[in-house]
Amino acid sequence: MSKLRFFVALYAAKLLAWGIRLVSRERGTNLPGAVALKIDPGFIRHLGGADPERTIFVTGTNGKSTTTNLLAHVFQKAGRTVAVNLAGANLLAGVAVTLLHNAGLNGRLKADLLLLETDERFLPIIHAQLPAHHLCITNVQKDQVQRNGEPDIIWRKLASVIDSQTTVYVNNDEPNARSLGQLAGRCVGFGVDKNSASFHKDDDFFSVSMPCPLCHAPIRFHAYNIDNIGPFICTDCGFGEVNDAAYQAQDVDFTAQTFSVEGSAYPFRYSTPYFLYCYIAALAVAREFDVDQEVIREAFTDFVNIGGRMEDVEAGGKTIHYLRMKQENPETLQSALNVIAADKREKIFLLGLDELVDFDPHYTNTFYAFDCDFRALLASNVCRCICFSGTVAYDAALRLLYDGFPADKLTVLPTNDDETIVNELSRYACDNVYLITWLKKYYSLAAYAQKHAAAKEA
Amino acid sequence: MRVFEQLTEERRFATRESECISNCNQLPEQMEAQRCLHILWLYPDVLNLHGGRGDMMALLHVCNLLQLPVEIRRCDSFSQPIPLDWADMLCLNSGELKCAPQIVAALQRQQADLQAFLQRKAMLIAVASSGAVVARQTELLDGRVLEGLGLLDMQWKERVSVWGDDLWFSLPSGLQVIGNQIQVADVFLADTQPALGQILYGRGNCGDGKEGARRDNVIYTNCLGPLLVKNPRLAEIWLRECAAAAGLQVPAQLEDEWIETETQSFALIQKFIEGKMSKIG
Repeated sequence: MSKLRFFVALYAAKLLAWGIRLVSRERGTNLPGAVALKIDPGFIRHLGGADPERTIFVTGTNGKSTTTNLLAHVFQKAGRTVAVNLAGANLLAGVAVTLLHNAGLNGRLKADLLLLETDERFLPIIHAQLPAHHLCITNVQKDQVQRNGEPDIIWRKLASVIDSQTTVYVNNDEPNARSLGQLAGRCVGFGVDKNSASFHKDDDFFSVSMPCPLCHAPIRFHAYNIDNIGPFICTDCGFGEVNDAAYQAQDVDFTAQTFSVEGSAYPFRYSTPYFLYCYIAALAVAREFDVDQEVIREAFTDFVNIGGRMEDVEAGGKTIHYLRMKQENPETLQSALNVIAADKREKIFLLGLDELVDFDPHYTNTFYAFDCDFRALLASNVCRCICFSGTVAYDAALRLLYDGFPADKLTVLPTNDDETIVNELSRYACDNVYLITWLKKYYSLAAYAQKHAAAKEA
Repeated sequence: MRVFEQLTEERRFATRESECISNCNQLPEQMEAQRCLHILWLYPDVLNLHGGRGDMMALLHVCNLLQLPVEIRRCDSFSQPIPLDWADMLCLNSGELKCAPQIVAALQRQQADLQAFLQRKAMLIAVASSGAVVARQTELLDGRVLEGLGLLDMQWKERVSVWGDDLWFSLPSGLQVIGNQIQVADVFLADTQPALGQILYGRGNCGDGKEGARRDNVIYTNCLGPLLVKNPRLAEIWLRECAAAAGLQVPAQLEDEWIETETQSFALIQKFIEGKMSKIG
């Protein structure tokens, strides 16, 4: 009976996926999986050919998608067939869709490897059906607090699936992720040396770090490669004192876009600290799966990431550099601020924080911006800041004022109206514009700015 | 948008390794008249969530506006003695629930100092998860029970799912406070334990219309924002209470024009919340 139910689920979902693909290739990343799981709640478990030893989950709060995409590209370059959820559908239904696309009509998986980006909160549920023996953990940081509350809640979810059979690949520079390595049968650490983009927070009385995941005493970072990621030590128990990373990015050169591991050089075209951790994570996993260094090098050379993380758009003689941030995620906001601060040319800074519309209730959280430091950005030749939002424009402005930005260079627009924002932007001669906002708002604003500029030229 | 310049100037000279940050060099006339207010920031690295450090910036900023000399001191390590005899205000920002036992233990090691601190009406403010430190007990999902200091008569129970939303409440004085809440545990007050305020919108302690708790000068609130950045009038009230308990004069009043941005923020978010309330009906 259960076998019959599985095959009904498989065929129904495949038929549905085929139908959706006729309409659009971008859609159908979840629905067929949801249908399969509705018919057979154990659908993923019942698929044949899923070997835990050849199944890799990539999880953590930031960098999952890029690491997964990069790793898939490396494996494909190495001639492996990989079942992977590149579209970022990382909940149970999304994983089910990936698997059914890679399963034959006999219900058996056809891929050499299963490589799955998995949402950190849903990891225990997915793992219960598909007990992967390889777990790559990018980091466990403050993220989406309306869902996740505090990092320890995520830490406990990840810890619940790690046992003596698990090989974990952990970010050695991020204390929470690194501590999870102690629960695993085998731990492969990766990290990044202090480099030209590393920074300190010692100049700020109000700076804070984080509690040690083992003893809860304060962690002290010797330097930050990204916010709350870098060489560290616990001030009480000494956790982190010895760097035992098996894969350590050294000689990092952001201009030449290269780094080396044990003397071998690798390219990284997305040359920011945030992406560098994705590269070194992918390298660690790939090497442990016996991918040749030269293949990895080739794959890193021609890897093209999914869109939307960093984009430029031209409009009315201005270049708008868009930097994406995740909702309620101070580390990705800080990374974006650091990228802008590195450009010392005169610039306009457009900040579009907004209410959170992830699920009900929508709410007006901007407090994560106080976990970030805007001072370096504000001292990097910003001639005008424009804060816009129909709900939290004044809160964003307050954040800038608290970090010392002069009030007379600050515009607050309590609206999301594209026309109002573009009109304000066009008042200033500076052609170098940086924008931080949600992806959807960026698309809308960029489209309007281009349309507005074209109409003006005509 | 006046007067953030002084805060910027003070930050320029106070590093992470500094013992303290203060406005005493900026307010020499007031300093001649009286000592400064002492604010102790407990375990900033451990209680590091939800932008709570913004509350400390807000306290310094509002003291500047009030021309009240103040010194804020960090207490960073569990092994370091907590200078309770020095402090007029003790701030516990939001942190992870797992850290509460160490903080309780550190304060219990100085039980006599803590009693003296409370007897002279110095103020203890615990925000969000740090309320577990001043509660009686917290029941965790795994069945463990964390013992708190019992300074407030409230029981905590860890939630299966996090609750995040806006929060809008009023104090007994009528002052309205606005912010957010990220709740990992429901809070149940004993019948004899007064709440800090009454809910106008949001969940508050456990959806019973009550927000936070207060007994004498021990205060607990769920409200984030950062709370004192978004609600400078509340910061003013609490600073005045502390100053009075310490026998200090507060030279100035908070003028409306100095907190124009905060007021505009309040109005915009109030409108957003009212929109949500009208949908709920």
